[in-house]
Amino acid sequence: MTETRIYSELTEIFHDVFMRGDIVLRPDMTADDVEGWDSFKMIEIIMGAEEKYGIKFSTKELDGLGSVGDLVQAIAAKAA
Amino acid sequence: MASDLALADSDLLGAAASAAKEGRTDEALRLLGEARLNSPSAPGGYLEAGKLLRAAKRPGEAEAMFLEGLRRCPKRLELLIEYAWVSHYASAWPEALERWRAVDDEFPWHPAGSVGVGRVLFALKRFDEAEDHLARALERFPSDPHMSVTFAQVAAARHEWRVALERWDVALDLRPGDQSAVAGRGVALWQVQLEAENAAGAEAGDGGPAQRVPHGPVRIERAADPQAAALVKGFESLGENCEFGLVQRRFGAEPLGLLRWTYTSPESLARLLEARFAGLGEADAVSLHRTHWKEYFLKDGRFGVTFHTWLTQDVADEEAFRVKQAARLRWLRDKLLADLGEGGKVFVYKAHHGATEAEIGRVAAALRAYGPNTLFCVSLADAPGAVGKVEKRGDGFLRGYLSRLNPTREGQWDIPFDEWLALCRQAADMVEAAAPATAAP
Repeated sequence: MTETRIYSELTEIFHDVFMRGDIVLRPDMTADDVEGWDSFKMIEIIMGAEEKYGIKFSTKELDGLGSVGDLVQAIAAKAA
Repeated sequence: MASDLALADSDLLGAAASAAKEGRTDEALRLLGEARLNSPSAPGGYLEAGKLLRAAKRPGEAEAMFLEGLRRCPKRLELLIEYAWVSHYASAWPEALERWRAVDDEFPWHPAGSVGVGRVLFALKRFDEAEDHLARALERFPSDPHMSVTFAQVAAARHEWRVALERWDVALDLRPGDQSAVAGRGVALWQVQLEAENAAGAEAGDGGPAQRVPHGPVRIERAADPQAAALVKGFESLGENCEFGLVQRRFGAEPLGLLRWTYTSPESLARLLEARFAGLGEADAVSLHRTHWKEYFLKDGRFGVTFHTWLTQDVADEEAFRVKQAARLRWLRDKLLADLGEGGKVFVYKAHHGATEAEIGRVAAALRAYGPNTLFCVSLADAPGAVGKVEKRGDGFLRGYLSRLNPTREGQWDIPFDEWLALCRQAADMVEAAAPATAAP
C-alpha cells in the first residue's frame, strides 16, 4: 500500500466529509488549513479511513496525529 | 477549687489549641487528655479532642471521643452536633439521620438539627420528605442560610427550576456571594430560560423540546501554550457539562471524547459506566433536536445524556444525519471502552452543585472497575482556602476545587482557566507519583 495511493483514497474521504471537491491534501496540511475541520469532522475522516482500510486507531494514536502526513503514515503502517 | 479547675481547664484547652495550630497534634491530644482527667464532666476536653481526631482523618477515634463526651456530659448541644457530623461525613445516612433528629428533638430552638435532617433527606433523595421537613423548619428559622441552600437544592433536584431560582435568590439574600448558591442560581436560570425557549419553539413548531440541552454557543479565545495544550490533552472529560472541554479548547487541545460535549449527571454517568455503555448510541435510542439558535443536539434516551453536534446549518436529510451521528456516538463509545479497559487514563468530572459524595464515589468505583484509571473530580471549593487544592481520596480518586463553576449565576460562562490549568498540573504530578498503579496522563 503506497502512500501515493493512500493520499488519493484519503482525498475522496475528505471530499465526502467536507462535501467539497476542491481539497488537495498535502503532508503538512492540518485542521487550520481547511475551513470547518473540527473534532466532529476529524471523527468522520478517521471513521472513513478505518472502514476503508479495515484498521483501528487507538485514542493515543489519534492524539498523536498532527497533520495529514501523520495520518497517511499511520494508515500505511497499519494497512501494511 | 472549682474555679481553679475551670482555669486549669481553660489553660489546657488554650495550650492544646496552640499546639494544634502549630501542627503538633499529638501534643494537643495529650493536653486535652489531661483536661479530661482533671475535669471528666466538662465537655471541652472531649469536644476539642474529637474535632482534632476528625481533622486528622481518624474518624473512628473521633466518634468514640464524642460518644464518651456524651456519656459524661449528656445532652450537650456541641457534642451532639459533632457526633452527628461524624456519620454525616462518612455518608452513613441512616445513622446520620437518627443523630440529627436527636439534635433537633433535644434542641428545637437551634437550627443545626433541622438543617442536618434536611441535608440527609436530600442526600437520600427523599426529596418529598426533605421538602416538607425544610418548609416546616424554615417557618422556625427563616433566616438560616444553610437551610435555605438545602431548600433550593431540593427544588433543583426535583427539576422545579422556577421554584429553585426563587429559593436561590433567597439564599443569596441571606448570604451574598455564597458560591454554591451563585452556581446553583446559574443552573436554575439556564434551565428556566431553556424551558421558555423550548415552549416558544414548540408553539412555533420547531420540532419539539430538547431536554437538558446544555447551553448556546460559547466563544473561546485560544491561548498559544503548547505545554498547556499537551497537559490538558492528556485528560478526558466525562462531563458534567462542557466546561472542561472548553478549558481544553482554550489551551489549543482538541481531543476526541464521547462525553466531552455533553450534559451528564452523576447518576447517568454511573449508570453508563456500570452498564459498560451497552446500548449507548444505538440508532433506535437516539433522537435529534434543534435549539432556538438552530444547533442540532442528540439525546440518548436510554441513559438520558445530551450531546452537542455544533452544527447549526440546515441539514437536507435529518433522518440520515441522525443515523450518522448515532454511528459517531457508537464509534466514540468503543474508543472510550478501549481506553477504560487499557487503564492508566485520568478522567475529569466537573461535579456541579448538588452532586453528593455518594454519587461521586459511585462514579469513582465504577471507573476503577475497568482498570487502574483515575477519576479527577473537580467541584466548587467550600472555603476560600480550598481553591486550587487537589487531594487524594483513594486509589485512583482525586478531588480538586475551583472558585466558581460554570455556567454562572447569570447563565454566562466565566471559566477560571488558570485555576483549571493549575489543578491539572497538580493532578498530573500526583498521578505520576503514584505510578505504576495509576499511569500519568
